[in-house]
Amino acid sequence: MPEDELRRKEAELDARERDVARREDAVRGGSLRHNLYERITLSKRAVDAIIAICALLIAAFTIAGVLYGS
Amino acid sequence: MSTLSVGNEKWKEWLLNYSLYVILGVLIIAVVVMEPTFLSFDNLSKIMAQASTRGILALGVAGMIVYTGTDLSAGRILGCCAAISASLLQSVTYASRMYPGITEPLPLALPLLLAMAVGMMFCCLNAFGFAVLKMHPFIISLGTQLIAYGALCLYIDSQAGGAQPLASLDPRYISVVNGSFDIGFMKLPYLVVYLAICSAVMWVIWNKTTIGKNMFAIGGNPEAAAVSGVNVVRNIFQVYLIAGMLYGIAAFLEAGRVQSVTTATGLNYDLDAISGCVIGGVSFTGGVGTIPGVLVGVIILQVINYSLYYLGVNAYFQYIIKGLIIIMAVAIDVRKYISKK
Repeated sequence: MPEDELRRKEAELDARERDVARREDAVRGGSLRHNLYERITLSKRAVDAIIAICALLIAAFTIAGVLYGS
Repeated sequence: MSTLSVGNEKWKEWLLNYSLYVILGVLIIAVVVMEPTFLSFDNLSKIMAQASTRGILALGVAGMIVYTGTDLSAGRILGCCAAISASLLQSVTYASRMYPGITEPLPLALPLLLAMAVGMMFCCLNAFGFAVLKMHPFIISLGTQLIAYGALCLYIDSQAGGAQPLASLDPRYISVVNGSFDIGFMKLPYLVVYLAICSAVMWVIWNKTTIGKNMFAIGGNPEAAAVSGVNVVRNIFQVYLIAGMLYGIAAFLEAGRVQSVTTATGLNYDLDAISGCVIGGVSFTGGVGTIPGVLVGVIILQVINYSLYYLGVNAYFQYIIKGLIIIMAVAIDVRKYISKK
């Protein structure tokens, strides 16, 4: 392949990469991503404990609610 | 020994991932022991009918959760739309009706379309804040919630007799909403049919159209979706407008179901819809969720509500239990997120 052709293709590729980067930057300017869990640093074990505690509390409050009456 | 520990681990995993279903099972068993008629078809159809309006609302909210967003205004928007439907469909023989000028019964489609238009208008506001102003959906929908509540209070207060419930509805309206099909020995409420129709339409939108495919793409990774050529703003508006239409339909049905609309109509419905979605597997991490999941979530929540009522649990305790159920559902979702990381 002649050198000119290679350079032209390289320049084309660079331009395409720049275009993608520009579009990515434009999108990042105001991201719609609001992942609520992104900042969670809890371990899996801690989350398991929360689930177990919730289950126990639900059982306890159901029994308490029945005893308390309507 | 190691096989035993692996077995234990698997059992623990299963128990934690399906803990809400386990609680539901235990509750149902407790209720059936106390009241064997609980599982009768008549009772189940009542539960389904009650779940239907919240289900339709949840179908709308689910799309927003797929975007990693939410909608705290859904309940109040429903209240507003319900007030419009009820006020236009009060019986023409009722002396204290809101519009004494309406002397001939209006076609039922008109208030339904109006309710849908108002729902879409509020959702447009949410979509604008979220998609164009890049506001957090919690904040924009909280603002919309207050605007909708203020509008509802003003509307109900604008009656000649002051703030009184919008009641004495047109019998045609009540029968269209509360009627049922007689299938042999059982009755299938129209409300369940309406929920089924809305769910089928939403399933098609989510799974077979560009709107749905793009919605999941944006929910999974908005930057990648935009770079791939998805018009993010347009897609968000489309999904929010569909949600607004669903809120309008849910409001129309809820007003007819309860047969009275007050300023309290729609209170906490948004939380029920959000918790139904989360229980049904629509993840706050975005890009994850199914229509059958939403339906199962809403029905589970309704069955839990009914079970607590049947067990005679104090109403205030029921709020605490519902709150704990939401925390638990989110914790299960977080657990799945951590496992995937």
